[in-house]
Amino acid sequence: MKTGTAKKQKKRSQASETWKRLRKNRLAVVGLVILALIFLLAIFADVIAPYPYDQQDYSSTFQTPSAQHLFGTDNFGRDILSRVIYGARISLQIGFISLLGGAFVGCVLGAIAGYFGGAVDTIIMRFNDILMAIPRIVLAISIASALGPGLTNAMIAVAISSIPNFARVVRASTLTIKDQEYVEAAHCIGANNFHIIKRHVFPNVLAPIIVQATLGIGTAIILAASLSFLGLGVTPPDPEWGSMLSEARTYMRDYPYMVIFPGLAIMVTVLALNLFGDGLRDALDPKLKK
Amino acid sequence: MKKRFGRAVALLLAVVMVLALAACGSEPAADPAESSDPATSGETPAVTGGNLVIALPGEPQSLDPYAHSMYYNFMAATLIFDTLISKDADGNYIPELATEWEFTDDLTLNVVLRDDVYFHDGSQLTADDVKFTLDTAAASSFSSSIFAWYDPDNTTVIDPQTIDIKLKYAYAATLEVLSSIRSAIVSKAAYEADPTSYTRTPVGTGPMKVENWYSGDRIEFVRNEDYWGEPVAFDTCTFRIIVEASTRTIELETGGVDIAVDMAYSDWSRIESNPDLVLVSGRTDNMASLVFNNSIEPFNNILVRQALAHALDLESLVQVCWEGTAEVAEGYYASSMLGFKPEGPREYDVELAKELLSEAGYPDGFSFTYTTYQTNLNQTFAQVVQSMWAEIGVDVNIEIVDLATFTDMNNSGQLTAALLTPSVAISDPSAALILWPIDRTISLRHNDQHIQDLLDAGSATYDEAERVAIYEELQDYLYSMTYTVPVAYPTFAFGAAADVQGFNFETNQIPDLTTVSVG
Amino acid sequence: MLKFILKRLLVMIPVLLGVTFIVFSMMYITDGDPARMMLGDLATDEEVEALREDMGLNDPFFTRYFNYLGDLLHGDLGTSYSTRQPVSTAIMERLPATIKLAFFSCLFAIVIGVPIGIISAVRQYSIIDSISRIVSLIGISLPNFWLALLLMLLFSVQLGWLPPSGLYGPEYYIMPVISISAVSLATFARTTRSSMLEVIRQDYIRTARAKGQTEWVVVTKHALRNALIPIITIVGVQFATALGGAVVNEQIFGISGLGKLMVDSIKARDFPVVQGGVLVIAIMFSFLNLFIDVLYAFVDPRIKSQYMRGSKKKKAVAASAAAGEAQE
Repeated sequence: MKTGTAKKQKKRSQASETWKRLRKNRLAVVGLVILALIFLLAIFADVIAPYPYDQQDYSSTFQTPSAQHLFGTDNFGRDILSRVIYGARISLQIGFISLLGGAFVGCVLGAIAGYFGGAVDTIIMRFNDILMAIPRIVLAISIASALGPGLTNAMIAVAISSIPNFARVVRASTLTIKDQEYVEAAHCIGANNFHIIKRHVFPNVLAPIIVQATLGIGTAIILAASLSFLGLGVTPPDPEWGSMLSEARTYMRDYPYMVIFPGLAIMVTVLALNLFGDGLRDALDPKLKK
Repeated sequence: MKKRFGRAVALLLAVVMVLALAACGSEPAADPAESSDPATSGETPAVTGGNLVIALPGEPQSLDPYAHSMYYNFMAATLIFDTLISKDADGNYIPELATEWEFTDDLTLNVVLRDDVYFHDGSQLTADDVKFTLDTAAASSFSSSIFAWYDPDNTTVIDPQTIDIKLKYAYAATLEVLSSIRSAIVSKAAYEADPTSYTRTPVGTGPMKVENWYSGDRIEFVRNEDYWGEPVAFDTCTFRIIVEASTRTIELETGGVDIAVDMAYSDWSRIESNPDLVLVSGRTDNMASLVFNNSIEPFNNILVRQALAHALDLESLVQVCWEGTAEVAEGYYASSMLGFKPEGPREYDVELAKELLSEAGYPDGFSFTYTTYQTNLNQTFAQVVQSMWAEIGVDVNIEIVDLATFTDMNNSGQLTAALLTPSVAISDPSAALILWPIDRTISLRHNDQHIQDLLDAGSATYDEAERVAIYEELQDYLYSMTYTVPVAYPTFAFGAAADVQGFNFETNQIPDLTTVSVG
Repeated sequence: MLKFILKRLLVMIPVLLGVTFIVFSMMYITDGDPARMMLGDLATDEEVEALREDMGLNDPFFTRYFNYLGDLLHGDLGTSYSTRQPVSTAIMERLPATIKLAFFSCLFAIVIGVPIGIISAVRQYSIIDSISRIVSLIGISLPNFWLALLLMLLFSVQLGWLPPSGLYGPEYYIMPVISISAVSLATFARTTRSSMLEVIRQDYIRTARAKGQTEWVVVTKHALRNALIPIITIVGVQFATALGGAVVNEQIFGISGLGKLMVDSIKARDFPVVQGGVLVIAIMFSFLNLFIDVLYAFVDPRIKSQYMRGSKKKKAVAASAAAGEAQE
C-alpha cells in the first residue's frame, strides 16, 4: 500500500516537474498554443468555416484572395479557407490516429522483443528489419494501393509504416531496463512477465516514446499528404491538404495562391508539433537540455 | 587518438570518393547516341535545324501497332511504318505501298504492291508480309474489332507483289482501314522471329527508324537512308516524355520542344496569345457519353434514364467540365461522319424529370454510388452531376478509385453509370459506335438485339445511301431508348512552334508526322 | 570485424526474402487485373482469361510465389507487364538518376547541415544559432513536395532561370536536390548541434581548454570526432529519406528515375516491376546500413572492442537517442 502511494506521488511530481519545465520553454508553449488552435479549428470546423468545403460556385471560380474568400477559391469555386479548415480535421485524424496506432503496435512488439530476448526477439526484429528495409513512402504507397483509396486505408498505410521505428526504440530501452535491479527484484517476488512489462518496463520507456510520437505525428501528416498528392490515400473531394496541392498543380502558373495555402497549413501544423515535441523532450530529460 | 581519427576520416573520404565514382560511373565519355543514361547524355534535345522534338503526355508502351491502342504510339508509327494506301488533302485514296487496288467482287480486294520497298533490316516487302500483318491485326485484341471483316483463311498471296484480300462480309470501310496507320505493315520474318522485339525495336518500311529509347525519358528516331519514297524534312526526331501538362507548355514556350501533344485547357489562351506559338486544335471523332448500366436497377427502367437525362443542364455541365473547350453533343457520334443525324439533347427540365421519376416508381428519388477514376475531368463531372441530380431527389455518392480498378469494374459490369469517351479508330460510324456491340463487356449492357442487327446491317453494305438510312434508324432508336446520354464533343489540342509547317491534325488524333518541317 | 560483417550478410538474406514475400503479398491482394490492363478495353472476357492463364495469374499464391523466387535465384527479376521488357533492364535504366539525386541530396545536406550545426553549437545562443535553429525547425516541417512546387513556381515559371523537368545537366539538379535535401539538411544541422553541445560539456573538453588549446583545435580534434558518431548513425536514415523524397520529386520534376517507375508501376498494376524495384531498393539499403555500421564500429572504439552483444545494445541506445532527433 505504502509503496503504491509513494510511487504514485513520485509519478505525479515527475509529471508536474516535466510540466513546469515545459512551461518555461517559450517556443514549446507557442507550439502547444498553435496546436490547440488547430485542434479547435478542426473540431469546430462546421461553425468556423465560412462555407461548406464542397460547395461549388461556378460563377466565382479562381477568385484570388479577397474579403469574401480570404484564401481565394479553386477551380470549382470552393472556398479554400474553408477547405483548409476542414482539412485540419483529416490531417489531425490521420496524424494522431495512425501514428498512435502504429506506435502502440510498435511499442508492444519492441517491449516483447527486448524483454524476452532469444528467438522471440530475433523473429520480431527480423520482421522489423524487413519493414525498415523499404523506404517509408514506398511502403506506404504499396499498402495504400493494395488496400484501395480512402481515408481509412491511408491511415492503415501510415500506421504500418510507423511501426518499425517505435519497435526499435522501445526494444533498445527495454534492453537497458531489463538488467536493472528493480526488475530482478520483481522477478524475485514472483511477478509474472506481463505484469513486469506493464508496471516496470513501460513507464520507463514512456519518455522516449512520447518524444518519438510527438515528432512522428508531423511526419505522419506529411506522409499522408504525400500519399494524397500522388493520387493514393485520401481522394477528392475530401479537402486533404496534400490532395489540394495536387489539384492546384495544374493551375499553379495562373493562380499560385492555390498552391500556397494548403502547403502553409501543413507546415504550420508540423512546425507546431515539432516545437512542442522538442520542448517536451527537453522537459522530460533535463540532461539533454541544450 | 590522432591515428584513429585520421583513419576514420580517410575511410570516410574513400567512401565518398567511391560513391561519387559509382554514381558517375555510368557517365558516357561522349556521344549521346551510345549512352544509356538519360541523366547525363549531353545537351537538352533542341531543334538544331535537323531534329524535330515532340512532347508526349506518356511513354508509349509499345511501338508494335498491334499491341496497344494509345494514340501517341501511332504518332511514332507514322514515322516507322507505311500503309497500303494513303489519302490526299481532299480525302481521296492514293497509292502508298500499293500501286493498284480493286474490288474484284464484294468480298475480294485485289492489291498490287510496289517492288522496290525494303524493311529497315534490308529484307524486301512482299505480299506475304501484308497477309501476315492482316492476320496479326485480326487476331490481336487491340485491333480485332477494326479488322473483324477480314478473312484470314481465304486471303491468298498470288505472287510476291499481288494479294487477294478476302472479306468475311461486305464491309464499307475497308479502304478507310487500309489507309489508316492502324493497318501499318510489319515484317513477317522479323515479327515471327521475335514478336516482343517490336515493342522497342520495330522493323517497318517507313522513312525513319528507332535509334535509341531511354526508358521514361525519350525516344530518338533517325532517318531511314534507304527509304523508297519521299524523305522527311528532319534528320532526326525525338519524342520527349513529359507527363505534366503545364511542363509541356513551358517547354514549348522555352523552345525545348517543337510540338506538344495534349495541352491543358488552362494553357490554351496562353499559347494562342503567344506570337511564337500556335494552337492546333480541332474536334476529334471522339464523343463523351454518360453511360448507364442498363442491366441493373433502377437504370433498367427507361423512365428513370429519361428522368436523369432531363435533369442535366448540359450547357452548364459541358462548359464547366471542359472549361469552355468542348461543345454539347448533338447526337450519337461525330457530326462530320457518314449518316449523322442530330438527336437531342433532351430539354433541361427539372419538373419533367421529377414527374418521370415518380411515374417510374421513385417519387422520393433514390441513391446510388457513382464510381470514377481520378482525373480533373472525371472529378468535375461527378460533382456536377451529383449536384444536378440532387435537385430531383437522386442522391449520388461519389467514389474515386484508380484507373486499374475502374477498368476492372467497368469490364465486369460493376459500374452504375460512367462517363466514357471511347477512342474512335477510323472515321466511320462502325468504329464510332464502338460502345454498342452486344458482346462488349463494359458496363453498358443494354442486351438489345435490335441494336446489334442495325450495327451489322450498317457495316455490311457498300451502298452509301443504304448505310445512311440504317444509321439514321439506329440513331433514332438509341435516342428513344436513352441507354446513354451523349454529353460532349471534346476538342483536342496540340501546341506547336510558329515555324512548324505541315502539321495537320487528323480527327482521330494521329497527325501524320511525315509532312512536318521546321523553319 | 570480419565475423561481424559475415554475420550481418547472413542475416540480410532472410530479411530480403521477407521483403519479397511482403511485397509479393501486397501486389497479390491489390485490385486490378494486369491482363485486362495489358489487353485494353476492347478485349473480350475470353481473351483476358486466356492471357491470365498464360501469365499464370490464376495459379495459387504459393505456386506463384515460389516460381517468382525460383526465377530470382537465376537473377531473373521477371518481365514487365506493360512494356514486356525485362524488369532488370527497366530498373537499371532508371536507377542512376535516382541514386544521383539521393546521393547529391545527402551530400548537400551533410556539407551544409553539419557545419551549420557546428557553428550553432559553438556559438550557442548567438543570432546565428537562433536563426539556424528556426530555419532548421522550418526545414523539418516542410513537406518536400510543397517546397518543390514553390521552387518550381519561382525559378521556372516566374523567373525562368531553371528548367522545369528532366535531368540533362547540372542546372537540372538544383531544384530537386534542394527540395529533397531540405529535411535531411535540417536534421543534420539539429543533430550535429545537439551532439556537439553534449560533447562540449564533457570534462575532457574542459581539460583541453584548460591546457590552453585554441578553440579551433578543441572543436575539430576533440569535440567533432566524438560528436560525429550519432551523425554517422543517421546518414543511413537520411539516405532513406532522400530516396523517399526522390519518389515524389521525380513526379514533380518529370525525372525518369526509380521512384517514378515505382509509382507508375503501382498505378498500372505492373507487379513484376514493383516487386523488382522494391527488392533492389531494399538490397541497396541493407548494404548501405551494413556499411554504416562497419564505419560506426571503426569510428567508435568502444564498439569495436566488444562488437558482438554489447555493441548491439550500446549502438541501439545511442542510435535511438539520435533517432529521437532524426526525422524520416
